[in-house]
Amino acid sequence: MLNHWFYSHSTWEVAAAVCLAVVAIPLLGLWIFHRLVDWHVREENTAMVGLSYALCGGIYAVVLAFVAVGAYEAMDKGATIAGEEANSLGGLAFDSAGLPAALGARLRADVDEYIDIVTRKEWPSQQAYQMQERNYKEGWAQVRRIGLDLANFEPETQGQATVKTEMLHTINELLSARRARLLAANAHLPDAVWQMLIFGLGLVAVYVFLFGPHSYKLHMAVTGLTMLSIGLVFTLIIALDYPFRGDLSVDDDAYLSVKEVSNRAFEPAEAPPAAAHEEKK
Amino acid sequence: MLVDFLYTHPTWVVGLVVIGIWTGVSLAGLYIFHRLVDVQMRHKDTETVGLTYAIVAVVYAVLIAFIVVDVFETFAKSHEIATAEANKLSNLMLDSSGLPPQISEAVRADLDKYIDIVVKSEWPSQQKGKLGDAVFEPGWTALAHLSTRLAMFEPATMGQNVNKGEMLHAMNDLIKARRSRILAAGEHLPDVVWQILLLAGAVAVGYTYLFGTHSFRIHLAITGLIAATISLVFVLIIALDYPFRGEVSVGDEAFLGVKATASAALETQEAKPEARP
Repeated sequence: MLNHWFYSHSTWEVAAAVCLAVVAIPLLGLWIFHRLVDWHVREENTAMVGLSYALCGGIYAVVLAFVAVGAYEAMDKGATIAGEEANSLGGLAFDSAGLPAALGARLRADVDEYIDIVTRKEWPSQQAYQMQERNYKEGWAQVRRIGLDLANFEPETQGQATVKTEMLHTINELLSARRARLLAANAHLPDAVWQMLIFGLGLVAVYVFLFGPHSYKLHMAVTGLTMLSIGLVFTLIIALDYPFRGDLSVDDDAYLSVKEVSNRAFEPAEAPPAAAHEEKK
Repeated sequence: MLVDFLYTHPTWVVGLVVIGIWTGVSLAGLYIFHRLVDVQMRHKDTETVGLTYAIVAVVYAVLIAFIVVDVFETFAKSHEIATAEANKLSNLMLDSSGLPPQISEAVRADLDKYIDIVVKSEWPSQQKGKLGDAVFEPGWTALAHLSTRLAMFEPATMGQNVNKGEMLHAMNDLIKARRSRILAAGEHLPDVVWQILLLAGAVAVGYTYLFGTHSFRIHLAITGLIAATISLVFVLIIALDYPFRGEVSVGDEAFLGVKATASAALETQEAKPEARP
């Protein structure tokens, strides 16, 4: 439910909500703490608290930054996987020129249809994080159809046999990339990591409460700014997590580019290059 | 518009502007803060501010350092992608000598034409950040032409068949590398990452305002130096981001190298029969 809210609103709205919660709750905690724990005791021990805070805060800061970078790298990897799948589709479309004309045309039409399924049905499902198998059945069926068509093709010449070998290799890569994409679209930061980050945030907040500055306003400012900087990194992690979901996610440009390029390459008006070359000679 | 400015001016100019603005705004903020908030009150609690600053500084330092490393790795990866594309062109040039002369010449001419398109048209466009479909259309057409020619070629001997198989494989790798290059040319740090870096940077600099130093000049120096350090890293990120754009970008040397090597190889091939008695 909370996840759904995060990924159905703009990053700015999420940032405002997260930072507000991460700052306001600790400030409320400080207000209560300030009333319950004697200021003089804290003031006397501020140096000791500060020294030990360096370790606790340092560990938390490094872990938080590592998690943010991990989320960023996962998003990069998601884009690479989508690019690999698109590249395999492009390879199939180009290589199909070496098959008998009818089979080549059918295969290209199947590749086109697969791209339509991916961009029009699977991508919106991924962005809405509807990862149930039924949403991806059609894509699997289509990719199987391409594979079967190719596997059942009996080459009549050596050249066709070579093209078939290369295409079988490419279709295996396509299957791997498709599976990797669906797994990547499902992947996200484990709940345990989030729980640890939030628990750590609580510890850091309590640590800041233990300081005993002379000015309560300054204590509020210190607590608020520390929490705000953590809240901003939380926002970044939320925005980058679920690489195929929400406002900031991997796009389907690579697939659309493959479709456009292969359609242009096989425009019916264009004469086959080999024939054109012969004519020139 | 801002991005255009950043990538159409030399890095030192961009550096001066970015460092100047960021540091200037930080110091102006400190000046206003100093007038509004009593320094005596801050002076008493400087120890607390200093001790708690650790976490804000470490989160920001580690985050920004990792982003620099990632941007640098993306830059290095883009270099590898361009080199891989050039290598595949070189492989195709070399393998084409095993095909019948007519096809072999046509393949080499297609490859030459493709390299010319990449070097003379695509590279300058990439450097200007013009990445519209129209920029890459001639390159795709040339590649589609070559790919179709290869796929439709019917080998007459076993040797030619082996060459065809290898060339089809290299062709697919070339297409992959090309598409990866085009995608990499459009790659950059997402806006949200920049926004978080700027906001968290403002928090890190703003935190220093809370210090209560005896001398305002020292306070200015501390804030100014921290702001300058952060903005220096911003300049590094800007320079390395958009790997195919601006002054610091991936060059086209690999493609020119392939063309030069192929020309030299062809000259050697042509010179050989003449040398024979």
